[in-house]
Amino acid sequence: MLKLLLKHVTTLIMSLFGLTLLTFILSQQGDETLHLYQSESFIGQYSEYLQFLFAGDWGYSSIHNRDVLSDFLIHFPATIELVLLALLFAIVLGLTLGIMAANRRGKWLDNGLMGMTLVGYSMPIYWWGMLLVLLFSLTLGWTPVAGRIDYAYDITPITRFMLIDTLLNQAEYGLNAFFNALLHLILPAITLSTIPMAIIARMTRSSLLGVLKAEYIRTARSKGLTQQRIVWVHALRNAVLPILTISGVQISIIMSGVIITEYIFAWPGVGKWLLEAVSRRDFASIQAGILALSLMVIAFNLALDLLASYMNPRLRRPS
Amino acid sequence: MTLSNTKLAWHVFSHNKSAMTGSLILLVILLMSLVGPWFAPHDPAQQFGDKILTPPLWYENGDFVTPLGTDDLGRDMLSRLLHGARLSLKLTLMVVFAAAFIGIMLGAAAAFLNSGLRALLMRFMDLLLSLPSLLLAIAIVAIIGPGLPNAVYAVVIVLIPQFVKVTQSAISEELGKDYVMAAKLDGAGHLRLLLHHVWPNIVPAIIVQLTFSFSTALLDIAALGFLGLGAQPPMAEWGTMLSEARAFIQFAPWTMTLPGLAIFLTVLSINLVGDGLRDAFDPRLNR
Amino acid sequence: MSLLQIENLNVDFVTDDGLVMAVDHVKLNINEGQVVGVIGESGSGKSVMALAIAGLLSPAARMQADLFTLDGHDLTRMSVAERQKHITSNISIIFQEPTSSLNPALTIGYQLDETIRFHEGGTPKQRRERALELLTQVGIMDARRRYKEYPHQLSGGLNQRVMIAIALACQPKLLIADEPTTALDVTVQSQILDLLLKVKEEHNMALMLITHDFSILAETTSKVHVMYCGEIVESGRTYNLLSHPYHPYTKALLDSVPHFGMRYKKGRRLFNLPGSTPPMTHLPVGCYLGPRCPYAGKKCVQHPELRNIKGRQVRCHFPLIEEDKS
Repeated sequence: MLKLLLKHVTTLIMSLFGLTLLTFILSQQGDETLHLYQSESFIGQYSEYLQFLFAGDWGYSSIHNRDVLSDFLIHFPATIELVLLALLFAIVLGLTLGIMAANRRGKWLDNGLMGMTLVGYSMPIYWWGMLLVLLFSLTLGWTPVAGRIDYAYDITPITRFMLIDTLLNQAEYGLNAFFNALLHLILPAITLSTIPMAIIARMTRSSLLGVLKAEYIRTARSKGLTQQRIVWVHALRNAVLPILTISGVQISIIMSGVIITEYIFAWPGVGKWLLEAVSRRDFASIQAGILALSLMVIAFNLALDLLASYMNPRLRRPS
Repeated sequence: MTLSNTKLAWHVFSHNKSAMTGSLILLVILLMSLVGPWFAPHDPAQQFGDKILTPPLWYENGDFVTPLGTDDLGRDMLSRLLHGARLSLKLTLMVVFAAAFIGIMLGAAAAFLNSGLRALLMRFMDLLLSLPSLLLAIAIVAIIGPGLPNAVYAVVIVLIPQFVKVTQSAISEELGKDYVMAAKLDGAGHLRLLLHHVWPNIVPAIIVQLTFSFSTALLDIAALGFLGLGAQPPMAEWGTMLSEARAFIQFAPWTMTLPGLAIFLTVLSINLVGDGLRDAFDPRLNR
Repeated sequence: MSLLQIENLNVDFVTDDGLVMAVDHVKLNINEGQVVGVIGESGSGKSVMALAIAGLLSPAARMQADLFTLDGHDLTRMSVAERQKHITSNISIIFQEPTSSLNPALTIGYQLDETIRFHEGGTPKQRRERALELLTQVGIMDARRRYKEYPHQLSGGLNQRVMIAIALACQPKLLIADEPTTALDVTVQSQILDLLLKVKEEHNMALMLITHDFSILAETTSKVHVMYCGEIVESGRTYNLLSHPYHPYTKALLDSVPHFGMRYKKGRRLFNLPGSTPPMTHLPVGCYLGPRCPYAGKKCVQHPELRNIKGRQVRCHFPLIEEDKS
């Protein structure tokens, strides 16, 4: 366990080192330097850069005339809201579809679901988003085309999570604002979750089918347990580990996807903010955005690794 | 990879319906990208001022001159798609082979490095792999500036770590096997060992990685084009075409659906072939 | 009284190379409290037969029987769900690989507890008491500690004891042990065998012991069935069958085991069947042993039926009865 922890910590330190080096180089690109450095040398400036980062000084954007970190924090909740909902969709639907397919192996449902997931993981997300807009927003008129909420609602930002803020602002609009925000969120979330959902569904199916062939499943059947119990307790508990290990890739896919999704739906999150910064060559914001998004991915991966090792009894308690 | 192994892999592959369907679609797309531009009815940049946003044939007011319709500047969609196919596939091939070449070299070198240096290199590759590919590409484009050549360099860099990892782990695995020890005892040097003994055995892993890299490269190049960071208008590139179509989704949906469909079908067929190859090379995975 | 009666049990699979009759017209009768042995080489269909009886065949297998009664109930007339319930409450089974037969992600205690909950019920506290009692019964020291542990933390022998405890929690009338000691160390093998016989007595169960090793059967069973290519080729009382095999295959199996202190006459060697077990998709015409049998005659192109000979069942045209006169 200690050895495992040590491995995680060294990986984390290596990742942070590489990442900050990359963003340091990014921060050097603009016409004016991000911070006032004392040192002349590259290494000296880099270590000063790290000190600034830790102190919470992520630089100042002369283009926005604002502190980069606070600018980032304004856009961050919108991205988190979208990513979390998409992640929820992907995991819940992916697992359910995968289990359904495995339970009906070789039947039309299995073949249909697997065909759909194949389509899902070959789908360019930028096209998929526009197809959804064409169908649900423009043709059927069910959902709004862009943004987080209608302009008619004037919501005071408190947490900057629109779903929470609309609930806190109920005095004025009741639940209408909340449902309006939810309606705005739903299509981007579906767009973003489709590809990871397809991958999770495929992985769940193949992992579960593999596990269901195991000898301990035969033992469980001989004990007279119900099929539900065998699948949900005995099989899934073992099938989840490989699914967890691919979830690290899923978060990467989602973070790539969120940039495109925010661009399509004019969603005022970090992705859109980052793209604007790139087109304006605002390197202070670029380095902050890339650093923050990457930190999220690294933190998520670390949490997953720890969860996986907690769930695997072989690693938790070495014999 | 001995002859009988290749034969076996081909046997498995050719009996895999979806893989064969994928190969067929891919072959058609490749053929179109090769000869298509010669058959394209118009110049992809030629603007028909009187034909702006003409719908394709299956709409009421379709036109045989421009069978797949025109875009907002009156350019022929069919010609643009065919030229786009050549451009997209050419870029994808270049990007993947460049990344594969660099990645395999680095991976092979890593397999023979001392363990400390190898760990350092592989950890760095792990870091690059753990970062979202598009984010990394955007970071690189941000440094070197937007535009098609730079987007291509960015995607090459993004793809390299996969090849380093696959090559390094495949070589390390092979080096641990008995036959390599036997060859070593016979006095084979590093290069000889690599070329004559190890290389033939890691080719399948690299081929599978190549196919999946094709779909990643195609998607990422088009994504950068879509975001305005890659190919710039008026270039007939699928992602850029999609980006230009954004404003006309409602009035001229074909300007959006057609280039998207082209990307999707190409990626789908590559993935089908890739799945088929993976199953063919690794019979244990057959289900 | 008869506990399990089976006649003409067939199990077949469709494979890429054609239809496989894994179990072919098997007749079996086990009385209450009786210990019965089944012996055969790997692939002889003995494990498939065990799985068929325990209702654990994979969906790809087809099974049918003319007669299948268990504890006085006719299973052929029951619905699938009823049959499954009746079988699981009367038959328990343990396997060759104890460690992979237990779920690696769940503790020993959990796997035992859910079995008790399903078969006996009771409050969590009662179930825990019962589980610890069962673990002690199968000879596990410090049951309290083991209760919280995972299968990978236990040795193969201990895991097999846990499997036996789980089997006992089902309160079966018949325990099927499919090669229960094959994967274990030699010193542990006899402990597990002794344990099986002990719990068999204590719980008044019948025991079906499946093995490829005659030495295990000799001291434990009262009756033995010999299987070859999915068929029973000989059955009879253990002592008689081992001392005077009638079927050439039984004789071959017995003779291929070297005995300690066995005196070999000059020129005599261990008896060996030429050739190897035929693939189940391409069985020979007539007697399945025919091409390998030194006693085969013209008659052996016809498939022999199971015949009653001196209180024994033998599937052979030329049983080795003359030999035991000499």
